[in-house]
Amino acid sequence: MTQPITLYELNSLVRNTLDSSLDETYWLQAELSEARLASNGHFYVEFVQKNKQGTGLLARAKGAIWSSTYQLLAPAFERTTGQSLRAGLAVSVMVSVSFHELYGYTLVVNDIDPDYTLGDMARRRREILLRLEEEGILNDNKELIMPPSLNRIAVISSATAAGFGDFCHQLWHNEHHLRFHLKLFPAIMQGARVEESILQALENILSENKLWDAVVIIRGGGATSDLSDFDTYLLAAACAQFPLPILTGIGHERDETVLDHVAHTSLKTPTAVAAFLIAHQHQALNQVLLCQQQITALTQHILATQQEHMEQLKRSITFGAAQTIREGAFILQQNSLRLQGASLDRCRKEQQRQSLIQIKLHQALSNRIAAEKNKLQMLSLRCEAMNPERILQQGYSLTRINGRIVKNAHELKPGDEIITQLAEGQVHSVVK
Amino acid sequence: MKKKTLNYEEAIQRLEQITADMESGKMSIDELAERLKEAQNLIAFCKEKLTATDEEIQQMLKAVEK
Repeated sequence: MTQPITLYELNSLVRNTLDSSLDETYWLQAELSEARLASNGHFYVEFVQKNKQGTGLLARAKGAIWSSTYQLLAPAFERTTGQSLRAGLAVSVMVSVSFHELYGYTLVVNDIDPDYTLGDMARRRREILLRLEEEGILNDNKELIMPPSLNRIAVISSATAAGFGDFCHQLWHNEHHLRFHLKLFPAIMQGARVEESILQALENILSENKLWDAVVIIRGGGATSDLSDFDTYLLAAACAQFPLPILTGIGHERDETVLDHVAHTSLKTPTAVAAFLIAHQHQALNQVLLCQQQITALTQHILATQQEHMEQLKRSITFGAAQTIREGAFILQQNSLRLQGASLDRCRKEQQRQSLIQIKLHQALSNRIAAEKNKLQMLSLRCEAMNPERILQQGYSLTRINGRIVKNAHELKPGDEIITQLAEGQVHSVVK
Repeated sequence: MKKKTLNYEEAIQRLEQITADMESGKMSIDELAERLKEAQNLIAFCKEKLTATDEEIQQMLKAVEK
């Protein structure tokens, strides 16, 4: 049995063995499970390696970045990755293995490769995006049609209001007097509770989604960002499937979060979001003004066309009327001439007929008069022959009794007084 | 007026329809007067939806500063 040694001697032995058998430095790829800045300026971490399923640990080691190194590495790391060194990140670090008799095994970080972390973050984002794609929801929000007017805005932002206040101010002081209705749905925009908090805000908006045209997720400028807080599957899925278009302005220049990928419109900063909204509304206003101009111009055009048409009608009617009158007058004249001609003709014929009749009548009358005259002559001659005076002249006489001519002697009896008429004078006698 | 339930999107669509109808050259003078009146109302409605008065803006700013 060998001589017992003290703990210090044993630890020294371990330290010497390690120092002599290990390389001075190693590039180590591991995940940070703890990370904290101590008051003395040193940065203490814990490295872990998980099993393939990610359910258990295969290895664990303490680590430290001494204050002087940390002050050099941390800003560069943050600049490149947009991340502070924190639990959950995969890192590639150059470490030297240190064993101290009192403090034990520590991996002292001398350098860090931010590109590795960046690559790992990108891989995680890709995995989330791939999953969303497989589920067929990756582009759901992008495919929503942006409404023509976009001024009722549900804002998800930090309640510590500077960012939100600036955003409101910028929107309300636009030069075109565009109207915006804004409501803040407060959420934590940094740290481990980002996912839960934004999900809650989205749920609150969803319960009144008819009141809003779009959702804006913004984070005030200047926040040193842990962008990977926004790279979670649940958050991305909720945003992708949200029924209103989502606009992001989470304040980073280099890289896109998963949220930016699924959002309808992704912009760098809250200021850019406000500018986008103002431009959108200005365009909407211009569209209305254009409509107004078009309608005014078209109205004038229609009126002018109608007036022109009316003038033309008027001209046609005037011309047509004159033409008709001229034609009418001509026909009238023609008819009047024909009528006149016909009348004269007719008059002449009538006159001829009348004179013919007159001649005939005259003839007939003359004939008749001559005949009558003749007849009268004959009668007169006959009358002459019958005249009693003429007979008396010849010696005949005429006897009357009481004024009556006596033709038979028997009519008389003696004593009757008779008168005998002679050619010259009368004889009164008495019958014997 | 039926404007009660009208939203912006419908209003702007209607305006564009009226413009198209006017462009088609088939609109009668009788219809023109009616459409023109409707269009004026729609334009006023859309403008009102898009723009705010100074007074309204001041009120909104006050509300957010509280």
